[in-house]
Amino acid sequence: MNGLRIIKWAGLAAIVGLAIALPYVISSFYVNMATQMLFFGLFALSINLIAGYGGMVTLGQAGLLGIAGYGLGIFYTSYALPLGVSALLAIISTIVVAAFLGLMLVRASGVYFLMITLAQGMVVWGIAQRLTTLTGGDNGLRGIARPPFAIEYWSYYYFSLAVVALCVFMIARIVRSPFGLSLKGVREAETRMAPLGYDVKRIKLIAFTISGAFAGVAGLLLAMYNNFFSPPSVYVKASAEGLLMSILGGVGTITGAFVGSGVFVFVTNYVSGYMERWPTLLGLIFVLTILFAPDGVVGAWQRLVWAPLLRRFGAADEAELIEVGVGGGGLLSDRDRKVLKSATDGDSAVPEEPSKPVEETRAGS
Amino acid sequence: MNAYTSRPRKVLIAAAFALLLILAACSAPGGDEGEGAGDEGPIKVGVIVPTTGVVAAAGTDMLNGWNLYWELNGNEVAGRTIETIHEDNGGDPTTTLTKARKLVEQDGAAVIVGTLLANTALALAEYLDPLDDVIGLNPAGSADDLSQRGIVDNYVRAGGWQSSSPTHVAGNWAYDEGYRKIITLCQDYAFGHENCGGFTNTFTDRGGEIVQQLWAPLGTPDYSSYLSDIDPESADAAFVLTVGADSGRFVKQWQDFGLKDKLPLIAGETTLEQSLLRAMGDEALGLQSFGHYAEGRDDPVTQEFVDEYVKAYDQLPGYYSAATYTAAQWFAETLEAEDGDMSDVPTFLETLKGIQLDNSPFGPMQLDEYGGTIATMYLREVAEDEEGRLYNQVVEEYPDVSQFWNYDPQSFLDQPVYTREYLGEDWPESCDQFVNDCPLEGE
Repeated sequence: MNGLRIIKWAGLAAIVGLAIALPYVISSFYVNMATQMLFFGLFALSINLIAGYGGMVTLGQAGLLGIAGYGLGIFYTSYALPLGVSALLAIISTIVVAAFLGLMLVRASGVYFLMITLAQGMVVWGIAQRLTTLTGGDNGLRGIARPPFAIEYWSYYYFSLAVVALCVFMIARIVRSPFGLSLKGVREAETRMAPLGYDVKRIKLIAFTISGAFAGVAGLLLAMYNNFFSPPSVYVKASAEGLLMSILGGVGTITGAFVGSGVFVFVTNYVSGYMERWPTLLGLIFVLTILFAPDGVVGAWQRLVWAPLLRRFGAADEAELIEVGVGGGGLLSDRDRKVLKSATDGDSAVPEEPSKPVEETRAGS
Repeated sequence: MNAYTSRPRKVLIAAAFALLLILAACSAPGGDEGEGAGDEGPIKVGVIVPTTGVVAAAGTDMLNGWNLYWELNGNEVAGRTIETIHEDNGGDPTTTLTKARKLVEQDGAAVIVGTLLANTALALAEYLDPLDDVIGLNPAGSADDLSQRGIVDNYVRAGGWQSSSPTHVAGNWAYDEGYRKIITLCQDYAFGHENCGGFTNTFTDRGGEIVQQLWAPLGTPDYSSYLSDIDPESADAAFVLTVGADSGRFVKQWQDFGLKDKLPLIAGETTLEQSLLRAMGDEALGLQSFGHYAEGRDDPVTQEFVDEYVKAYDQLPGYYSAATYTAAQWFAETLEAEDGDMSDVPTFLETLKGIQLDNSPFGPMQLDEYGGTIATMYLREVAEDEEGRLYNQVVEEYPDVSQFWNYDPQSFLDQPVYTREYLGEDWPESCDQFVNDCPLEGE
């Protein structure tokens, strides 16, 4: 396993190094693209959290992004509160609204869940569009500032990087926590969870609220990035784009959300300058992904590159799990894999550090 | 990674990451912001207009108008070559910002022209505001506040207009015409609010009454539910403002519901815009509207522009084309006046704002001290030319209309911008709020 470990660490170090060196290497235009990739990735990840890990597909997530964006704009420009306070209030508002919307959602599942989220997103959009005195209507809200230490394009990039990295860390912990596991339980077999003593509605409500909070953080970053917030950012199209990003990258993976947003930002920002029919290209990419890599770019990577690599380094059992689709796309945490393996094989599959994951899970709960 | 990493090591990694971030953020990477256009070499002009999406047709008109000017006059002014770079924003504010950044930071554009929809223009204004070496020309973003309560110094209405300017005239005219009770139907977003606000404000100043207000969302697929709400007996006329594809549907249904013969229609500029008339038929014939442009204006400058445009693109030009054409003329005249020197941006801006066009496809045009357009407004009527094309012919001209109408600018600016909640029905209360022609005295 030593070689594998080195590869993992080298990969991580390369990503971190690249992320930090970026503004020194490329011009401001590309740094701005990277910044967008970060917050749209966080947005896609917030959808992924409930769609990928909880099986609750939403088409209204941009509504929650919008509550935070508009919240920031309204508290900061209309009420002239300090930026930090406005951001905090905006996030609190988002959490409250998400919890409220979540209450309507917990009874529904599948397509009904989807329809209700769609309706909720449209309600937020309708308010943004019509409540002109508060939201500026179609004209949007202007004059949203960036934090004083992150005004330049590169400092704002670092700011976003730090915020998004923190959020990703938190989401990774949540996913691997007992709560995260019970969320996956709801996804896999909702009807079985209740007899096992889990409060399914509560799990769904908490997951939806947490996801809303992260969408809110993405909304804050978006609003501050543009110094501006307007209804199209809240529209169902934005929600669908977030969902498509997470599908493109790989539902149920953390890196997938950022791969998806990267592709999306690249096509809308860069390719669109050279190609008039860029929306067609984007559509084509989505169609091809669904046809040939339904588990997304990251899913395909894990299946085609990572699994053989694992096998090569003697972790054949883990590779097998990815190949049969159980671990594909990182749907399962390392702990899941162990539990699953020991259940199927009857012996401990991972000899190293057998007690550690349990300890970690507790810390994350 | 969980299985391989212990807790203390994670904390260490997180700390190292944070430290690296802080270190990197402390030393600024080399700036590569645009350096302006200086006083020699080519001038790069970024044109941001939507050539995809719902407003693609009008956006293409804008691009055509801009290109036409340089084709006719050559793209060299005062020794400087004008290089145009077009970017499509799809009618979306966020994309607009992305494209603006690309044009300024990547391509080194010193001038940005655009955009079409008011919300995209406002987003662009927000981006341009802090930049001191980039100039924005705003030929079509008509949001009132861009020259009223949210002025952005380096975003200039060159060839542009305010949404409520034509309708201020329309409201006043409606009363003169003998109408006392009016139904309004406007598109339910900022542009519609400002149009209806302008009309309502001046019409009610005179003593007219708005008996019914209808608001249709942008993209209304069917106007029948609104039109069946209208009782022709209850009013003397209707004021209607629709945008884009909605206009075609509205005008068709206005006739289908038999309202065309029963209730006089006063339309806003975009309802009978040339780019939409192309797709309309007899149902539009004879309809009257107010606008700041009329392709049928009987003047050599306008007619030459129309003829050249027809020659180049095989269709009559709407105001979108005229706007960018005029913006190009505006910019060229400024450059000429400054002898091709753009190195001192504040001076250049001052000259730009001081330009007075004695004649343009719109007629005479200049800016007031707030940067609002002072221009001629037209009462227009849809007619058919020899080739069977519909066009707006001029019925009446109203020269030198200010964005403040006859109101005192300061009092006007103390009011909020027109919204659904504020249409100026009860304002102004006294003649102090007028600079001339106060209509309240006779009441």
